[in-house]
Amino acid sequence: MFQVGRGEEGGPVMTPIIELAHVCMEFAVPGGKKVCAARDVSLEINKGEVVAVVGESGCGKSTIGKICLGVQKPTAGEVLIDGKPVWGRGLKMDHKTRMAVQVVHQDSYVSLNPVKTLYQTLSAPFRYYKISKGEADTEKKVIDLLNSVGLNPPEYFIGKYPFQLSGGQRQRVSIARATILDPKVIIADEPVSGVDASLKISILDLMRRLNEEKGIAFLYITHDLATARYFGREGRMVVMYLGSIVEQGGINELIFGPAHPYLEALLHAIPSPDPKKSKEKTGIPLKNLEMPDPAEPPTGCLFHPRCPYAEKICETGRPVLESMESDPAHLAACHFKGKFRR
Amino acid sequence: MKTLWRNIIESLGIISRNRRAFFGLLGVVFFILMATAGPLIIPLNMTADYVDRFQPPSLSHILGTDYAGRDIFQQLVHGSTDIMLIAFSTALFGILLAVIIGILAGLSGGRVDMLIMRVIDVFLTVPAFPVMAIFAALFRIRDPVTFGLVLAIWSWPGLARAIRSQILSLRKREFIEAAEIMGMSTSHIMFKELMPNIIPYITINFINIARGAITASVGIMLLGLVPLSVTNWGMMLNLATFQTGAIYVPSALSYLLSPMIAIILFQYSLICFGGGIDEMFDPRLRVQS
Repeated sequence: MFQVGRGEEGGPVMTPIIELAHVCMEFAVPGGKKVCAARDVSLEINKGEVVAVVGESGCGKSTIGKICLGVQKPTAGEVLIDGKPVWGRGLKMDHKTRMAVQVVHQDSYVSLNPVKTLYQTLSAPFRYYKISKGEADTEKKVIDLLNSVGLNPPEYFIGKYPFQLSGGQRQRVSIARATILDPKVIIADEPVSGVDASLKISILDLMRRLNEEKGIAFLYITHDLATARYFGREGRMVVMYLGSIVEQGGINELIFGPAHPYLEALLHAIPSPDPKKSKEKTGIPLKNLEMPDPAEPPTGCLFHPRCPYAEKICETGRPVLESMESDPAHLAACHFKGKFRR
Repeated sequence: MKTLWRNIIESLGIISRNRRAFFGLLGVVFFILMATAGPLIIPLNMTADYVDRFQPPSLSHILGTDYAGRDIFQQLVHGSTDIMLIAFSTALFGILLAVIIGILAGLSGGRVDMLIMRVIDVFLTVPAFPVMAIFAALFRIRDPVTFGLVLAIWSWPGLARAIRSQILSLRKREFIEAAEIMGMSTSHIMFKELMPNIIPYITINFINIARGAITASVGIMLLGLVPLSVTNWGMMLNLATFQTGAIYVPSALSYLLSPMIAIILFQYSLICFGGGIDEMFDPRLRVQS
């Protein structure tokens, strides 16, 4: 079906680490209305794979992350971790399976306990699960951990409090904590959007290394197509709009051949560093720059009020996510799939 | 055990670096010693000797004598035990109530939370001292611990509300979510992740409630509502102002001022020490100073 990430080509069919099947997430908002943060989202994350989820703020990408983490129960649909249902009736999921999914939050300041030193924060899981034997072993493991995320020298950082670190350093600690329990996948919700521009790449490289060396899969949630491409490389990308997936496929295929006008518009919105190219570049004339009220979604195609290519059919019929003829791994939810009347 | 000692020494180090807090610590230690070891070292002689009435401070009577020629310093030392017991028991019972009620409100939410908050509002809007005075008159108080218990009835709401709001704000933080995702138990999250953030509030409020209890108990005894013992600072004040006419005798100034100054010094020590505690628990304050 999908092209599985690096090193998995042609292998036997594997159960994905996380599988979302027709997941819907509705929130009640004041006034008796309902906001749909996820509409019929189906997604799978395979072993060692990088999946980037992109979209504007409010498109439901963080909700998808929370559902994958199992902290938010979807209103409909199924969530499977390692083939086991997370919200199965009566059964509580066993810890081991659940712990295969870990998290790196956007704001590293609130994701670390402010009154605990790095040693206290990072040694707690080792002690809790008795991974380490004795205090000396715990200390050694924490030092190794700090080394592995590039906090050098570890002895300098071990007694620091979160507020004494820079945003980038704190984010490294968050990543370190996420790797303690040997997860199969890390959900990274905008991990670098709070980090200084000059440090973004180094944090992405760190996650990249964890992906390559330890085979940890990543669900990389971002609004930034550039970092998605840098981090994702040959991975997959999922484009979300108003809670539904509008396009998905290999990152490079999507970036060089967008089939949905929404992705095309996003790509055109990226400024080019070359002034000549920048002048030549003609933006897509979106009809409306505002996202529609998610409590009152448009009829037909969710994107039609903003789509410059919208025709009659877009106002009535909602397109389904289908494979492109040219590339079966490339899916798009558009009536025209790249063949718009320009 | 070793880490506990290391923590205590480290904490003392932090306090001693702050001059105000160190003064507070010395004061608190002095008054605790006065209340515990004091009565054992300094005997109390309460036999009346009207010849030595209202003596000014001298070598034989450091703080002078009272209306019946008895040593004031002895009374002050022996009275401090009661004061300390009242303050400590009020703070202990008050904190216990506040923590239980605050955590209950913060974790349950919904109607239980609503109800508890409205009750707290009532407690906070009614002025505490008159209510405590009425309680003190209603209950038959024979010992300082019971007195503390009675005072605690009206001491918990402020702290309970603070703990509730702390819990409401902390439980939404992402480090709690991260701990949940790591599969840690609710009790681990409660005691190892949440509690360290709340402990400073509890400690500082322990000191504040104790302070309030001293003022309240002395005030109630000054009014003569709880005649606990003659040597109690509040009783001393009551006797000095209302009963013996010391207020009209110039040489009795020491009798009148001694309990007042003792109360002020103890309160001020507690305030300074409380500030030091705040700094000790909050790493942000600690490093910047």
